[in-house]
Amino acid sequence: MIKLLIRQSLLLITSLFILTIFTFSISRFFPSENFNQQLQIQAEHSALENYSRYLSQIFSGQWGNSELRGSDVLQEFLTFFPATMELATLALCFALLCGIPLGITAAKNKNSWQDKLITSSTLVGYSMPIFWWGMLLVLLVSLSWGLTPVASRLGFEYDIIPVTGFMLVDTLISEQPYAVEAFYDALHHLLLPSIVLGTIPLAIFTRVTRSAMIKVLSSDYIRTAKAKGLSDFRIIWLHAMRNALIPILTVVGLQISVLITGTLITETIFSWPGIGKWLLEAVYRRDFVTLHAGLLAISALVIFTNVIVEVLTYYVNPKLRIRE
Amino acid sequence: MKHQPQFYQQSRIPSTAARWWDNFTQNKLATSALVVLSFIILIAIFSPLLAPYDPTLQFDEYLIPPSWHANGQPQFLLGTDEIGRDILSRLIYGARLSLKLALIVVAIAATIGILLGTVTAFSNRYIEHLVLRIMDLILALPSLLLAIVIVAIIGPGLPNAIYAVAVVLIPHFVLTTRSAIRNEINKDYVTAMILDGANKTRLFLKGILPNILPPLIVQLTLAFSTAVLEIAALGFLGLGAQAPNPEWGTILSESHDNIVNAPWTVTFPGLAIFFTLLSINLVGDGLRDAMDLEK
Repeated sequence: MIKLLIRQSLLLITSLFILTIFTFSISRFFPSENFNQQLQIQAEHSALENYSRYLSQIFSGQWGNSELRGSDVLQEFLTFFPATMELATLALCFALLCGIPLGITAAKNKNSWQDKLITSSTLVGYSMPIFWWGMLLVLLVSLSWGLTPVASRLGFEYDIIPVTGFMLVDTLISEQPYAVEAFYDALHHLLLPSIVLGTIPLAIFTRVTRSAMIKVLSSDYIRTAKAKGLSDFRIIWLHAMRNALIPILTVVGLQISVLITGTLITETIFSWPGIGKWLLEAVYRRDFVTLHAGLLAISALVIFTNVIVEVLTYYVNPKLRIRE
Repeated sequence: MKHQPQFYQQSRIPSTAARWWDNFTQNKLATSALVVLSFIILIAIFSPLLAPYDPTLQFDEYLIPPSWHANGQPQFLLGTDEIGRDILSRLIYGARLSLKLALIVVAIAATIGILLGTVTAFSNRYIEHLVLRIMDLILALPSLLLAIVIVAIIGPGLPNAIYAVAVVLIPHFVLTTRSAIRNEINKDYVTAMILDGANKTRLFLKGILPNILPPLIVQLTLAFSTAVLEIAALGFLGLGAQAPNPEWGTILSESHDNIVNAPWTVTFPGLAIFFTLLSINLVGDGLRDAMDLEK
């Protein structure tokens, strides 16, 4: 296990190192003098010299000030990030909590009408252009039925001071008398965006769970468990799930960047004050300092989560551990 | 079905392509998806003949609902948008534009990606490792984010969006090509060809290439659907095709503001994107099963 952790952290460090080379080289194409000034890149120096200056700026946390607002971009990123994180986490939970049971139902009744219904729905979900799906749900659920709010994170009537940036936490810890109502209101606001964002991961998780479960359920040890007279619930959740979890975890890791891509669009539709809106505004107004910070921070985060998922996969899969 | 065992000695052994086609047509869903896709492609090719009006022609009637509504007008089948353009015509021309763009993107990405993948597979360990690391990195980045950064650098607009999406798609081709070649290269028939004195070019073109076609074909359909989606997404965010262009994503972003009073301006472009993506994905799935990959 320790060997694995060392190897994974080495991999993490090299990946981050390559990432800085990548962002450095891509930033050479930024048509912005301001960016170069802020990150201490000067034309008269060699590329290598500039790169080491760039690295020291990045590591000392001096990512520059926004060309629009003049505030520190790293600080800005940290203010906007929790909103995105909250949305993405809820979407991921929604996708996992619905996707895994759906996949299991389909696998248990293979080739039945439930299986066919679930499999074809995943195909539909997988092909759904998220920007249209979001607008459609807003039209139907929010505007026609009036069930959920159309945009933003919280109703205007509540005044919540951001402490952690996570609305669900902030509302609960706030001293206001309406803290609990505000919490439900925040949850209410989160509902539709996370369903929109979670749809494609949901389709993918269902498909993966189904195929993994079908494979596991046909193996000998499951037949033995059945012969011993164990209940369906025990067989699926305690025996089969352990092996089916391995491919599911791998796919969860791959969905992280899909979720980030999705937030860019979902936040536009729902006027969600997160990273997506922040970055798009930077693109429209050609604020390269912000754009660079966003690219670097999000990419580093994705790489970091991928390493964590990798470690988890090792933990779940004894075969990989024994091979050490 | 066509190649059932016969009572007499079989005179014809189906070619690989014929066998794939037979397998493919067994799958009813994939076959109907192929019909729908061909229909969309035909619409795209013959759009100037099929569209009732010019896509940028503005009438005096704004936001007319589809013709089956009480306030609809028969001359505008799917209604008009906020500046009085016929939605049906815009969607028909949009099919042409969206599919053409996706085709260009896939062509660029596939050419570069397959070449790079081949070179990587045949080159030494260090170069291979370097290329793979870079590709892994690009794959780890959220695709739309990378495309947006590229568009921000070279500026929004059509040709630039194409380059951005192509760059995002290249790593998939590189990795697929490399791993497919790696799978084949140690097989006996390759050794036999080397022993027969085939040089590298001949070995690749006559020996390996026909055998790595199945994964490449599946990758091509996947890339095509991704390209359609990403171009529409960039258009929706206002970074791809610009306003008067009848690109599906751009039409959607224009109609975003009218979602309350004119929902049909949102519904139809979305349906067009959705059915295109669905049919491409179904055809891709069918091809994968027909060519017996992943099994």
